[in-house]
Amino acid sequence: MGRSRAGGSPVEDKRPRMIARGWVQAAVLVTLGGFFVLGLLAIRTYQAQPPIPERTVTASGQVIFTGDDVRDGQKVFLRAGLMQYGSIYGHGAYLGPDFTADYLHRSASMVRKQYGGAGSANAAERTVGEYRTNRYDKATGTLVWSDAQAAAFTELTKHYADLLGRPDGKQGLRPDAITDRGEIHDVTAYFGWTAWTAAAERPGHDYSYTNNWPSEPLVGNKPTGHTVTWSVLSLIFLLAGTGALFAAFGRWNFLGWHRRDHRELRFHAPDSVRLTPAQHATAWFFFAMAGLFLVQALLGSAAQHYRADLSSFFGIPLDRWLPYNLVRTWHTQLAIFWVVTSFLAIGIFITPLIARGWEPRKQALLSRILLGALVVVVVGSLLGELAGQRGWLGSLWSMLGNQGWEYLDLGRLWQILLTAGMVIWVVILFRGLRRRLRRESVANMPWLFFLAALALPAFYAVGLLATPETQFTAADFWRFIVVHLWVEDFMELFTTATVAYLFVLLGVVRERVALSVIFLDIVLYGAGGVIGTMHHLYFSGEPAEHLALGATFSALEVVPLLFLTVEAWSFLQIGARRHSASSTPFPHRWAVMFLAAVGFWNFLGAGVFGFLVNLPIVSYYEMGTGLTANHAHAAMMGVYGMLAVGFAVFALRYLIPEDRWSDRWPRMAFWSLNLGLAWMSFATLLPGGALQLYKVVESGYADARSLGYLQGDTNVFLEWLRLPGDVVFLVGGVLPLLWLTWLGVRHRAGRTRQPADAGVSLLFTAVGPAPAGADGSTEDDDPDGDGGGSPEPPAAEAVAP
Amino acid sequence: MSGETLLTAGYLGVLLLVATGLDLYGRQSTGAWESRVFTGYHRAAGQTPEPVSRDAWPHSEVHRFHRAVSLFVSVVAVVLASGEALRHHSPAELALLVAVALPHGALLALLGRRLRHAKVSPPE
Repeated sequence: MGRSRAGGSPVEDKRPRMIARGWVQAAVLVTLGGFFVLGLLAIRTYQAQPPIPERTVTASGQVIFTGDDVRDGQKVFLRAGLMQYGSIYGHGAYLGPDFTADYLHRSASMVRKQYGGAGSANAAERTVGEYRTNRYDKATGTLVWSDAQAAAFTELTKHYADLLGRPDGKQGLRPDAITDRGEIHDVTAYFGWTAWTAAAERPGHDYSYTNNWPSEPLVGNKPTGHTVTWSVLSLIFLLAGTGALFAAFGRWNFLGWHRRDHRELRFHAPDSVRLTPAQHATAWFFFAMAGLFLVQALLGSAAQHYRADLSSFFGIPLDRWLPYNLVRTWHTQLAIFWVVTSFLAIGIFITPLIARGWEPRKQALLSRILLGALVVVVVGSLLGELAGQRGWLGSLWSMLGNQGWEYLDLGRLWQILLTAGMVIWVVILFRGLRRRLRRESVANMPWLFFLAALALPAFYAVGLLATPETQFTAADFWRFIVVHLWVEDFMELFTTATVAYLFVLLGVVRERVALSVIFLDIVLYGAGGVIGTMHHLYFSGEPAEHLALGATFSALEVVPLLFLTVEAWSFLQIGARRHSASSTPFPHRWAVMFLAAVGFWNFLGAGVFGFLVNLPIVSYYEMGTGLTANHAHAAMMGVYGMLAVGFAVFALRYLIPEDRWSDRWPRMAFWSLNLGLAWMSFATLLPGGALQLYKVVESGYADARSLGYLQGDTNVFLEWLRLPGDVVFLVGGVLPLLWLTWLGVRHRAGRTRQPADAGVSLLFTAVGPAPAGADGSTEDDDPDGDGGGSPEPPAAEAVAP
Repeated sequence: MSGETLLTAGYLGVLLLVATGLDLYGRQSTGAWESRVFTGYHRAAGQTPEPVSRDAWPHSEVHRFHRAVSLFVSVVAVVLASGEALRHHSPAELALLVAVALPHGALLALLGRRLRHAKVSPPE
């Protein structure tokens, strides 16, 4: 262990870079290129987002609403949690109407009726002309509406007063959700303004600010040329990208997998692995994770119940206490919280393994403080959302309560605290890793693991740029930096780095192979994912370049999903191959199964279901229907949910003593979670979404998103059909997991690793002929990778790399 | 004949494709070296690893996983057809639903038998 001995000078001890420089250069270039373009697109967002007129007036000069009304209306919309009830520009929740499309449809119907009704061709033409002509004067900040449009506004104010302030609820909001007449006026002004941007043509173009979204025959909204063209081009890019990658993969020996390895591995019985105090502390994290998961899934079933039966929850008027928008706010927030809890825990768990068993003092204390802070943030933010939506917080609603942007619902204070919590976590990891990092090249695995962790708070913090004052288009840009880029790229990166490292620590994957997989991940996800974030923003008031670039690059995102699934199996193959008959069986059967499930759902949920809704022309009709929910559940639960559970099962294998461990619980959780999720998708979300999509194409977007459609016979039948799968998921999947994590807490007091144990090996021992190198830990230290010559005497104890 | 029944029948057809597709997808070799993607790689690499056995863990279990998901898709299909039969049950509708549900029933029996007989060798 010469190279890992403490005390030597850092310079002479430093382990050189283990991977060709080309990898590092490619990763840096792709990332910089992606973020450069993303920066330009951010600037364009602010330049080209639809204007908010200072006043909207009738031809005679009577003010209908002012710019401040619109801005205040957005705040009412956010504070009351309406983005977790319905949507704007298709973004938000899917029970309530899409307020943009709903306002547009209702007002255009009224205007046309006023001009002569459905029978009159002249009326239809005049209505289209009135909505498409952009009568906004930039110089004076004045938008002129016709008298008919103004009359429709007055009518719709009454309509929204009824919908949002209904005293008996039964529409998914709490009774009397918004009753203040001024607030109703402002929120209607906000809906009306977004509806105006959806039909009025962008200056110099023949399509609206939203690229003609939503589909609405009454105002002549049809897919633009861009929408069609870039759909076709993105398909071509996908084919070309896949072909190029597979060709390159066939041509070059990318990953250095071709060597045989004759070593035998002996896994240490989980019981004999001594854990550090901080590792013991993670038992509570996993228990908290399972608890949050249970609450999240229960809230999900409550939200689902609203879709099946809006009037009551088996006789209980649930909407009085837990209205749909609150339940969905909590459901989506907890989806992030419980997954992140597991990620934080696994980071703390593997840090001492990476540091070769060394842990600084007070690391466990810091971890416990972190968990405490996390609990405070989770509970505080959820209660804040309740209080904010109910208006109990007065002017502090966005600070302490409910900022209201979907997925970033939590109050600003909690958002800052959560970011700070993740920073503390990074500090914990840094403390634990610092000795190791000092002796490593920045391109090696310990640094990559640390940098991937560092990216998590950094990109979550971007969400702070979306405030209730930010105009929707810009706010949505920043929101999707979190919802897409943070989740899909940076959580993916952290995941890949962690999974790869776990395999390395188990000795079943060589460090160099793992390293090349991480770099490949950075290059592939960087190439598609960064700019591909724009695929969420085709129709939210962004100019056409966002649509073009988003479509093209997000099609490339499917490539790594196809490819890394292939790679995931290879991981498994290596895992299966390289250990041989040893006294202790491979201890992580079920953790590996959860990883296999991640590969499956990456392919089906993220790849197939995601691509199904990705083309602009599909998204134009599809956005905000059940097919989006289908993709969201199969990808978020399928990939990150399974991963979070897999991490927990891995760590619990060491936390729970052997005599208390039973494969029964993880086995049951594995099958129930996967089959329950498949049921959810195939019984309800996929067929329901497909029918809804058909309805959009047939009768326009507003109609297909109306409560009337959702409460229709066929849709309700499909919604109820979900029940058996959800029961399997909850009872067979989440509860055994909760029990397993409780066992971890209950029995976690095993032998604690002492400083004197430094020489005691961690997770496995290598026996047999090792590749060239002085000891068992050096097989990967060999920079050109051509070792494997002279047989070495069996190393009695080898430390994980 | 109700439109809903026709849609259900159509969707059951889609699910049949999904179930068989998933099973076929799951049957392919999960040993990366056997994948056609790696043909060029084979040539480049002098010393390829020994081929994996389909019955070796975790490959055995990966096959089983796909098969179980397939089976569940067919269960969904049968439940959907039964539910639809409760809602719409004129003779023609029943005949159609039975006709589209039968292949799923056959698939269920087949996949169920294969699953029961599948060898899973937990890791040693």
